[in-house]
Amino acid sequence: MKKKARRNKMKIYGELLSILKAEKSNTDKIVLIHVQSKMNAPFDRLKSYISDLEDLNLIEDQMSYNLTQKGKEFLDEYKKILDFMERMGIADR
Amino acid sequence: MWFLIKPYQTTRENRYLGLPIGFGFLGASYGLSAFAHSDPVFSVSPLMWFQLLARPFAFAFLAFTYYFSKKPSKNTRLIWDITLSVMIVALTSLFILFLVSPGLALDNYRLLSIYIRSFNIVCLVYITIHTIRSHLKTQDSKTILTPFGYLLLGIGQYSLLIWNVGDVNDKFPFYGGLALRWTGLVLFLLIAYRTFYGSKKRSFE
Repeated sequence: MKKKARRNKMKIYGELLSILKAEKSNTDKIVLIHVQSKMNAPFDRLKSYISDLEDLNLIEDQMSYNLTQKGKEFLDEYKKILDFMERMGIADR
Repeated sequence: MWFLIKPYQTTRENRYLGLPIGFGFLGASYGLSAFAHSDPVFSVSPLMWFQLLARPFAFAFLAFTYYFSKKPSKNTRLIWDITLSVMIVALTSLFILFLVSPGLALDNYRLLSIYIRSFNIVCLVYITIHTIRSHLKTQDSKTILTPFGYLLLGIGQYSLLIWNVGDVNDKFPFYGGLALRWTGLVLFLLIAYRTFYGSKKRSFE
């Protein structure tokens, strides 16, 4: 069985912020188990990533999971890079 | 160049290094080519050799980037790292050989350029097919410019191949090749511009 390539932190934070934003637009209260299944990461690691996001000032707090301005800018830049990779035909799907 | 490094910066995947390296070599090669051809009388100078030798490496780096972009696994990462190392060693050896015995390399420029341009065309055909497939998968109009850009670079190389095989004093294929090359490069700039500056509506309110 092929081992899946490890994601780096920037990619993880980009994916996580994207999921949190999508969840937030669907429902007011974020259920972490839903985030976990979308992130495909163990729960303890997910909690540590969320804690990192708060430390980096990318989300407001671990209760609301609202994206800060810095978080929104980070996610915007992350999406632009993914878009560029897709346009260039090098995005892995 | 900075936007070509972004995929690597974001993912830290070495396989995306081929994009900035490939386009970097391509830009350097085109710059040297413009300088070498500024002399109205065609002559084989060391600059001509440098631009000729740098280009296949550029296209090979790009082709490998596309080849490895579809297989993100631990094994392919290792193979990409080995490929990258081999390419760098080959490139360095070639330039050292050229610097140590330039007289040896100055013979048969036209013959070697035919082989090199054929190799470039093979690389560009592969990249074009890869990007067309990628476009067909996404079914998104924004991804069509990339295969078109590589196709233009490929036709440009073909035009220069015709010029090499035929009469070097007939400048039509040469200038045609240059025009296609610049159009292709402008398309890539347009892709980058549209991605990073042209999509205001995607920004957050």
